[in-house]
Amino acid sequence: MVNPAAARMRIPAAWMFPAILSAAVAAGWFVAPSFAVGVASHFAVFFVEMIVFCR
Amino acid sequence: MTAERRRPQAADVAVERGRVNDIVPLLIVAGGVLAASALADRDKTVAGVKKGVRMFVGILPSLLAVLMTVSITLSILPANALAQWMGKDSGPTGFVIAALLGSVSLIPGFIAYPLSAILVKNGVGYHVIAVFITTLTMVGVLTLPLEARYFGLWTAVVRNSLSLIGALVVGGIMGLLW
Repeated sequence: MVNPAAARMRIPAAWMFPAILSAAVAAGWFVAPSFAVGVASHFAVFFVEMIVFCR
Repeated sequence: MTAERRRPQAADVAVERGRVNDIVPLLIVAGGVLAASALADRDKTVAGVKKGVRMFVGILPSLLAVLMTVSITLSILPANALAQWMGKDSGPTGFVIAALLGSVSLIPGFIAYPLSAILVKNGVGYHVIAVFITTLTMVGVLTLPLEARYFGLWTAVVRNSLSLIGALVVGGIMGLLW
């Protein structure tokens, strides 16, 4: 039987891919910090581009 | 891989600041219209805002996935790789890459357009973007079986093939114009 608390914490299917990518980049911090920082800075700029400027 | 990684530079930040100033009037107008709507009918306005937030949360996973994939790809690729493979002087290579990517990927238009803007900023040519967007919307390799179920295999294959040729023609014309 599935624990209701655990079931509530399950990641929805649509969010699974972004979650895996986030985890991979976060893990990359321990292997190659400059790579993780590069990805994060690109992501921050693109996010602002897309969300704030609606382009 | 000994890729030279690019990060946003100080000049990029200055450009962003300038664009923040550009967007302020738009935000003021949007806020004013929202306030006017709230004065006219508060319940409908709240319902509309809730619907908008739900739609935004609905597209957020796909948006984040594309943004993350592009961020990771651009961090791995050498600085001039995109411009070299898909830039103005890339020749048929850029067409082929764009046609392949556009045909196999399932990206909604509202994500593809801003993604294309990012690619253009990174040196990808307009003709390649034209091929990418046209194949993205008109050619579907992954959805071919589904399309064939409704229209028949022959019709689906011919439609997709003609669309692919059309996309290449559009890209060629764009290449001549830009």
